[in-house]
Formats: sequence, C-alpha cells, structure tokens
Amino acid sequence: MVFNVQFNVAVCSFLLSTFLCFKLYIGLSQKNSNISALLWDVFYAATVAILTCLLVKSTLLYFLNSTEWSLKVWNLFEFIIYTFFIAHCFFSIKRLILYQKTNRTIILWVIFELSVFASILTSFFLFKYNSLAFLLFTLPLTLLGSYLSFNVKWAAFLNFHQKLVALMLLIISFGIFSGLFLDIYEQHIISGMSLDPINNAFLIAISAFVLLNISISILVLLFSLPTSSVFEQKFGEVMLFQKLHQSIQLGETEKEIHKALLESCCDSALATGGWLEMTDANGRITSFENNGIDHIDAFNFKNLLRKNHIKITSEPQYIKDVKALSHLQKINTNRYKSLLLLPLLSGQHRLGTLVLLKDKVNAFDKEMVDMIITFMSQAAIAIQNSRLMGQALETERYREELKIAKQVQERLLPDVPHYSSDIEIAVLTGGATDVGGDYYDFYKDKAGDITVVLGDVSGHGTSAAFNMAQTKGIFQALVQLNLDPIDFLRYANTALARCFEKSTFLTLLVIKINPTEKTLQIARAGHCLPLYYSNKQAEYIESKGTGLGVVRGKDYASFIECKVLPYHAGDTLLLYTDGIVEASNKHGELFGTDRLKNVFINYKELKANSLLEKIFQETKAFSGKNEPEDDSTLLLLKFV
Amino acid sequence: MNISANKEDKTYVITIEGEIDASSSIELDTAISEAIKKGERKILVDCEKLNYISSAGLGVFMSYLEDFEEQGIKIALFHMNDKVKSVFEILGLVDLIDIVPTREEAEKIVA
Repeated sequence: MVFNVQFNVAVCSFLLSTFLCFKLYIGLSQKNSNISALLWDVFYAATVAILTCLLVKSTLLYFLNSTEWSLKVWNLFEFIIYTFFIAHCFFSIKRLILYQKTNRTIILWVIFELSVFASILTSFFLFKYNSLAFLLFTLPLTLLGSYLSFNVKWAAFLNFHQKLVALMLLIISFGIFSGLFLDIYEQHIISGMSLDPINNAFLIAISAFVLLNISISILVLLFSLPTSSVFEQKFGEVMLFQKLHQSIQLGETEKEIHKALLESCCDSALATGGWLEMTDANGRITSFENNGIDHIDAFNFKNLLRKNHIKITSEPQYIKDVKALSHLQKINTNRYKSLLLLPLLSGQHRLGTLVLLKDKVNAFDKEMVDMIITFMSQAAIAIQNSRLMGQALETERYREELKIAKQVQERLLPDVPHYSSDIEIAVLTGGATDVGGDYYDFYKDKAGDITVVLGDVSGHGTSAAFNMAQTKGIFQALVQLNLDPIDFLRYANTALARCFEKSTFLTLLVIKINPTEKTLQIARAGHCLPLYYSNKQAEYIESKGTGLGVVRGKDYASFIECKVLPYHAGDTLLLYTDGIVEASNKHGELFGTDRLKNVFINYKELKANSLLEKIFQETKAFSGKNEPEDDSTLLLLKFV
Repeated sequence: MNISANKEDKTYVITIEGEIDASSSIELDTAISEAIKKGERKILVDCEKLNYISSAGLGVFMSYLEDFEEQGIKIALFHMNDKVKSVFEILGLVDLIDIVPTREEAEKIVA
C-alpha cells in the first residue's frame, strides 16, 4: 500500500468524479424509471464489466506475458472497471430504493450518501480495520445501509413473470459481482496492488452495500413469488373497479350497468356462476342477467332458497355448504357448493339481488365479500343516477310536449265574438296547468242565426288537445250546413266515431239562437245541464242526451232531444264544464249544481265578465286550491 | 282502486272498489277484456264501493259497448251510489248500459 498524499488525492478525485458522473448519468436517464429497465441496466453493466475484464486480462496475459508492467496495467484497469461497475450499481440501487419515496427515506438516504462519500477521505488516514475508530464509523453506517436496503417495495409492483426475470438478472449480476470481487481479493492476497480496492474503505463500504442489497432483493423476490398472485389479484380488482366505473358513466343503459356489475363481481369472486335480478318497488322482477349459469339452474336455485325459507334481507347471506340445505333434487351440487346472496341496495330501498356460486365449499372469504359489496354500492349509485336522469329527461320531454299542445290548443279557441248588441257573450276558462279538453266555438250564419257550442273531450294531456282539434274541424265544417241541432249532432257523432279512439268521447252543448224569433234551440249531448235564468227563476234545463262518440253504429239521433225555448230580455243562459261542479274540498264534497245556482243568483246583477269571475272565485274558495284540477270553463249568454 | 272478479254460479261478477281515474282505468279495461276472453256472457258489476269514476273510466265502459252487442254479452251494473249514477245519467249512458239498484234485478237482466 502506498501511503502517498498525492497518490491519495488522485485516487480520491478519481473516485469522487466517477461517482458524481454516474450519479448524474443515472439521475438524468429517463428510462431508469422502469423497474425492469433498471435491473436490466445493472445486468448489462455487470456483463460489460466482466467481459471487458476477461478480454483485457486475456490480452495482457497472453500477449504481454505477465510482466510486472502488464500486471500494473491490469491492476489499474481492473480498479477502474470495478469502480465504474460499483458506481453504476450503487446509483441504480438508489433509484430502486427511492422508487416509492417517503420523506423519511429520502432524508435517510441523503445522510447515508453523504456519510459514504465522506468515507473517501479515510484513505488519508491510516487505521486498522479492527480499530475502535473504524468501528465507530462503520457501525452506524452499516445499520443505516441495512435499513435502507430493506426498502424493497419495488418488488411488490412486479407481477410473477417479471419477478422471475428480475430474480434471474440479480442472481447473474450477483455472480458476476462475486467473480470480480474474488479476483480482486486474490490479487490482494497474492501481490500488493498499488491500487487496491480492498484497502479503500470507501469502495469496501460501497461494495458491501451493493452486495447486501442484491442479496436482500434476491431473497425478497424469492419469498414473494408465492404471494405475488395475491398482489396481482388485488391489482386486478382495482382494474375491475376502474372498468366498472368507466362502464357506468352517464349515458350507459341500466342493462349495461347490470352486465358490468355481474361480470366484475363474478371475476372478483372467481365465481363459477351467478345472476343479478332487478326488482321494482312492488317486488316484481324487471330484469334478469346471468353469467356462467343458465336460466333453468338459476330458477332451480331460486326455488331451493324459497323452499329453505331463505329470504333476501338487507345483509349479505352466505351458505357455506349447499349440501346442508334440503330439497336439493334439481341442484347440481358438484358444480355449485357455496352460495353468496347479496341485496343491491340504494339507501333503504332494494333495487335487486345478486347471487354468486362457487364450486368449493366455504369459498367466499371476507375480503372477497367486502370487495363485492363495494362494487354493488358503486353500481347502485350509478343505477339510481341513470334512473334519475331518465326521469328528468322524460319529465322534460313531457313538459315540452304539453307546452306545444297548449299553444296549439290556445289557437283553436276563438275570441269571444260580438254578434249583436242584444246578445252578450262572455267566456272564462281556468284550465288546469295540464292541457285540457274544453272546447267552445261560435258561428253566425247568413240568416243571422247564431250557434254556440261548449264541449269537453274526455281525458287530458296532448291527446285531449288533438281530439279537441278534430272536434273543431268537424264543427266548423258542419255548422255551415245550417242544420238543426239534432242533425248537427248526428253527423258530428258519425264523424267523431270514426276519428276518436274507442274509449274517447265528447260531451257537447249546442245552442242555436234565432235572434229574429227570439228562440233558443238547446241540444245536450251528454254535457252538464245548462242553467237558465228567466223570470227571476234559475233552473237547470233537463233534456235527454248521450255523449258523442259513445253510440257508434246505432241511430244516434234517437238518443238526443232538442228543447226549444223562447227567450226574453234579461234572460241569461249559463253553460259550464264539469271542472266547475266537480271542484272538491278537503272533505271530498263537490261544489255541485246547487251551489252554482246559488252563486249565480247572488251575483246575477254583475256584468257578464265579473259574474263569471265571481263564480270562479267561489269555486276556488270552496276547494281551497288555487288551480282547478279539471278543466273549468264558463260561458255566459246574456240576452239584453 | 281494487278490482276483483269471481266466477259464480251462472254469472261472472266484477267488483270495483274505490275510484277509477286515468291510471286505474287501465285495470278496469284489463278486467273486462279478460272476462270477454274467458267467454263470459253474463257479467255483473258490483258498484257498491265505487266512489268516483272519471271520464277515462267511463270511456272504458263505452269502448266495450259494441263488443258486448256483437258478441251477445249481457252486462248489468248494480248497487251504484247516486253520485256516480248521476254521472252516468248526465252522460246519457243509462240508455246504453243497464244500471239497476239491486243484484237480483241485475241477475234478471243478464239471465
């Protein structure tokens, strides 16, 4: 050993600069972020090192015949190669140890690295390997190095195959490392080397660290091979979770969510088969999805559960051994040995049931069941979301339809005409927010006769509005023919019987006013009785009549009676639809015809419009509701 | 709303309880169409517990009038309360469907 300050400085600077170079090189290299790539790198470094050594050694020994000079060259060369190799390993290992960084690990590593580098300076001091100073220095360092070496978390991220490869690489690298080290050690024993790695505390420290690390890594990889399948399974479950999450985005149908859920649960539980049944609020089955088991077997299992009085509760139920149940005649107990029964819950509400079957007894473990329950709750949320979305869209669509229908309907109802100063006409509608079926129309013919109609198409919503439109068309066509009310209704009935659906009908009041003769013709096709005020008396006019669209194929005219009345100045005729008299209060009482008559009598002195308003107010006050439930229309004819 | 149907001695009795509105009228429709499918010729409808019938419910009855006539099915409604009966009267259905006070009279009609 040459104890020469200049020599030492040269060696130290060489070591320091090499290590710094490798630190930068490996630090910057992007490809090293992959574990497998790092390990391959170490392997390549080792291979390159040993091959170069063998090449140079054989060249020198063969060609130069083991002269002292050649030995010195060899010594120098081996020193350099060894340093490169060790530096490469050191920093590769650093990257592996720091693969999953925590603050603590980083701080400890920094301390370790600095301490180790500080040990370069020990070559300036002469000390024995078994002196106290040496021990004081190396012991803590060894402990720190060992602690860091056990940070083999990176091994968990490899799958089984990758672990085998890593194992092979590390074992070979270990072999190469040992080979190099033994060669150096031999030389150390045989001849005094000028450049002796073994006498360099720094290199020994690094070598020890690298050796320790590779050994620990090999052991960890070896012992984690049996459990790597569990890790892979866990990763697999996370992947399934992601897949389930993606497949239950908004826009997926519920059926697709069911499929994804069932698949995930079966995969996760490694089930032989299973099914998912969705039920509605009444317990009826709305959908059935099966995987790995056919309908018939599933049906037989359901019967089995029922016969064994196993009901679906809000908790998972687990049958460890299917053979323990009775009534097993139709069950294939070789294929299905244990059963897991889970409710699909959304809050308190049960959306459906999942059943999983496995071909081993007692085959469902707690982790598996927990995992499946997590899948189920995620799917339940997605299903609820999907349903809410669906409902929201439906409501929106319906509202739009109604809006359009209402617009159409408003255009179908005519303005109140002013035909003559002798006849005052007023109309007031208080439709429900829904689109209704109340219809009224007016017509004055060439002879001066005025026809007024008020009717009510059965039903609500858009179909009522469309039926109203058809009615208007028929009225407008027929009214030009100057028919008397009974003929009018007869033709109208035939036409409507062909236009309307089987269960749709129309009630109608037809009033034909002859201003010349001052007579009224009244025909009542199933509509509410009109109220006639004359001579200080208000009475409902009764007449026989059946609604339009009710009698199809028979002689309709025989069902209608036409009443003819003379009218005088001051007489009033009040027409209305059933929304007025059927307004009900919270006791279930109806407003009724009597109340209507009384209100009319009390306020008959008011102007036409005010009178109608008043009647409306009274019905609202009676029912206590702001909006009437059914269509309410009032039509007043006042003869002046 | 509750609808039940029973095959009795010579007649088929449909019992209606509650109110027939737009949604429950579908059940009434089903009950009547089932009776027709089964080939029942004598149908009685017990309206004792029928409180209210909307235009949808009335429409259901009316839609089958032609079928009843074509297939020679006799139908009678009985024990109807006044409120509901007045609805049938105003609409002029009393001339098209038999509505009688008691079951005995109804049985006589469909016999």
